Amino acid sequence: MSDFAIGVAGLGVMVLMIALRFHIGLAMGAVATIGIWLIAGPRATSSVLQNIPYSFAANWEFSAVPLFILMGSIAHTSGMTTSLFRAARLWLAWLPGGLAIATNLGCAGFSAAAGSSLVTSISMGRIAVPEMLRYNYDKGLATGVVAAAGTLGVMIPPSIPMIIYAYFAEVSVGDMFMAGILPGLLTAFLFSLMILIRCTLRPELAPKIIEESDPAEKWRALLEVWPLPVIIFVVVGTIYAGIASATQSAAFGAVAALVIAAFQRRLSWPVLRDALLDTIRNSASLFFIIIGAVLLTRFMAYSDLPETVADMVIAIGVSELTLVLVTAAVFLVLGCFLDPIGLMLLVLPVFLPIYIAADINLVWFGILFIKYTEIGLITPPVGMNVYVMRTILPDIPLQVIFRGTAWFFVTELVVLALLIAFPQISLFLPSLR
Amino acid sequence: QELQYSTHLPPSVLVNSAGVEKVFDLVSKATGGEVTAKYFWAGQLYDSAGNFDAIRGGVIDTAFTQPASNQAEMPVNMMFSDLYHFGGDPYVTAAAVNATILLDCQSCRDEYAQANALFLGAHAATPAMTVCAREIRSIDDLRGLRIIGQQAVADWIGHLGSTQLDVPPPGQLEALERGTADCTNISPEWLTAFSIGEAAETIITAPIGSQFATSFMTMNSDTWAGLSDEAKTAFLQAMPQAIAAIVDGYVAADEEALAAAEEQGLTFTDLGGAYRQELDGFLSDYASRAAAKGEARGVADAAAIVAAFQDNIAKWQGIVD
Amino acid sequence: MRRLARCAAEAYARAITAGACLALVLATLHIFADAVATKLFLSPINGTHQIVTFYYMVALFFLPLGYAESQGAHISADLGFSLLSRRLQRIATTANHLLLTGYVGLLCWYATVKAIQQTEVGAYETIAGGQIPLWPSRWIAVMGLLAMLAIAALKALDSILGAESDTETPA
Ligand code: NA
Ligand code: NA
Repeated sequence: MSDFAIGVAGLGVMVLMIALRFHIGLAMGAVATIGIWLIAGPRATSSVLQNIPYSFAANWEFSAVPLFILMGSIAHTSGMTTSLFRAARLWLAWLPGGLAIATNLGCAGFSAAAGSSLVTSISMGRIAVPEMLRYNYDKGLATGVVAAAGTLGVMIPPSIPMIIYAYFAEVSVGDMFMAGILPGLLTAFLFSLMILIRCTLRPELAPKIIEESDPAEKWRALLEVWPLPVIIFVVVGTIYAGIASATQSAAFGAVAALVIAAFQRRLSWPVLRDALLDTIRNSASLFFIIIGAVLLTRFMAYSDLPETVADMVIAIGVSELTLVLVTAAVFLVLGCFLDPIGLMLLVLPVFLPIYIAADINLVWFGILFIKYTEIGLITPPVGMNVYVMRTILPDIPLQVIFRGTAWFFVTELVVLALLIAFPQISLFLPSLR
Repeated sequence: QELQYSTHLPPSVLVNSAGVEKVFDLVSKATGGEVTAKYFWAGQLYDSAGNFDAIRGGVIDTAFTQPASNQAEMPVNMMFSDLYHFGGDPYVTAAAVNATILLDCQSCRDEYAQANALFLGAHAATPAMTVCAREIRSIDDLRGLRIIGQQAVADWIGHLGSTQLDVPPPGQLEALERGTADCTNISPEWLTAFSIGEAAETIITAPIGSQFATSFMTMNSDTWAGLSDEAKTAFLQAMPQAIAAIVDGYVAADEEALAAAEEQGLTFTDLGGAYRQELDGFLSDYASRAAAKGEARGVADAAAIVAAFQDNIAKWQGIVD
Repeated sequence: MRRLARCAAEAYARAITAGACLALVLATLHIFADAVATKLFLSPINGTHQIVTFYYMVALFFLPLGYAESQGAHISADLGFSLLSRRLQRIATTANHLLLTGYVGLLCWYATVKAIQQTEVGAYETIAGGQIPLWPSRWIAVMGLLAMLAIAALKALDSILGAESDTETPA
């Protein structure tokens, strides 16, 4: 069997195992381990297993993840989020799918502080989904909106993947950040529009909240929402004021949540214990999946599968448009199996030289690339943002969340088509610099 | 024979495009295609600590390694981090570090041998300059700031009365823009490579030293033993050419970045010579301090290594001049 | 006997999970204090980066793995499982537990090999004003994987011997 064949067979077995309710982290990790063993031998397997899981835990940038989970957990278990959504309910009751739209816009706002999709989804998911479910929103819609809108975290600056891309492609980080703003806002807008249309056509997705409320009560409810905006302001504010780096700001957010909860006398020992245990459990199950995903990336590197697929497809592409469309196809397909870092490490190095040779604007391609990784986060079988939703909402089956993201996926394809057809959407703001 | 090469750096950096690929191209040509390469870029397989392990385990044939990632196992080679401030003209520094390790320092080579590895050559970066996101008119303006720099310059930053921050290159632009940090110590090339020029205002042109404690071509000993004599010779001949090509590339990239910075209207200053003066004062007993640091780590011949390196610097300075 | 082993394994998993909770609290406070000290007093807490990275993070990711497994918190999907006959479902579940035991066992084994090697060389990293030993943090990873291995092995044993494990939650 060739290395390429082992790669393909491995992915097939992995999908089968996931379908048969194996742990997802196990399906990825075990297939990867056996694949590496077959291709590169026992010594390579030993070296990979000795180094990889540990070095992904012992990672400074990754430390923001549990801290943001903690921040959301405290806000949730102490009941702060309930106040916010009470106000959202009173104010947005008239709008079909109002809470989902509010969540979507909340994700866009949070993206201005967070540089990663995982962090955006975790923070907003912890806050918004339980409340939407309380008002009998469709489970797929409630989780799908966070899984999909969480991906805005990497399109709206700051963005860790954009920084890495800029380094790879030797373009300016500032240009990339500017270029991401309009596509990010466009995505948030089209998501809102899609939610509005769907909830108008199918009101049962988001039951209208009919509540008699006098204006005074509405304003009173608004007065109670301050904790969450304050926490998010602390996160964003400490970053922009130069007090904290993006990683450190997570600690400020968690401390702010603790202090406010204590101040409101909502912080009891059970609340704190639940928030801690909740965070620890989520972090552990996320980490187990990430070990699997990272091992899978190593397996793919050994099997040469991504490079071979890319080479085959490049052989077809001739004109600029064919090249762009063909690239899109490759990234979307491989994005089903690989996380953004995997795509970045395995496929980007193959495509970049071709784009440079074809003299295609690398900032524009960068934005398309970020879009591909965003879409990959919500496509099965390996959809990291969907897994994140599952870790924080263990009662909702994975397939329900995947189904919930389907309409967002379709909307993403529309956005992608617009970004390909009109490069100015990406390139207009950088051109002003 | 296909040799696997692994690095945590992306393919576009000069060490890879001008150095690593050049070595394998030259060796491949010289051996009539007998030796070929398969590259794993950008940490596709391992980070920099993992690459050293992979060489030791015979999992990878060749790799980029740096002693700083495996400090307990490379106390002798860590000496070259302690000699950071002696790094100047990159041609001289690169020649001196390779001469020291390959000719004068048996214990340096022993350390590689213990890890079942062979050191084939190091490059030297161009000298770093202090770049600030604010106006700097005097040495006093630098005191009490937050300055980004690796461990090797921590003492110097402390000597200035400033605070050392460790921020990886991709995060430096954001740190400077947001004011988390005030200055950074970088090769001028990074002004464009990591877009740091976008946040910069002042460039202090006095060079402070350079990074040369790396090995971009560490080879597994068994792999080396298995090569034909022809291939071995080809590697030994290709290395100096590749090192020269890397340094050529960095020098050109520096010139380009500095020209762009000038066009952008950044302030260039040497603080009227005050910066160099302060640094010289700080460096008055640098050699003996570096030797003491090495001895504290248990390096028996630390003073001899420092002396050999200084001799090599002087010798190659003469040759290059 | 199996029950006793299970109690012991779960007690161990819970005990080290408390360690993970402590690491989480300490990480939050340490990063917070370091950022404030750097901004206000220009004096960062030496070694924050390394302690957070190599100790708190390693503890809070590895130590609760076993607890998460005993709580059924590791994620799985149900795409074709429900279509199977009861017998095939049992086989798939047993295979899942066996493979998990093997996989985590392998991870645990290699983490131990690495921990021994790092301990032998006394791995450390230089920081301002000293050194931080890195080798003990390798043993934290081993402790966490050991807990997950024990829980997974007992589950595998249960499903082979036919007793449906009671903490298993369907997806
Ligand atoms: Na963002
Ligand atoms: Na996917």
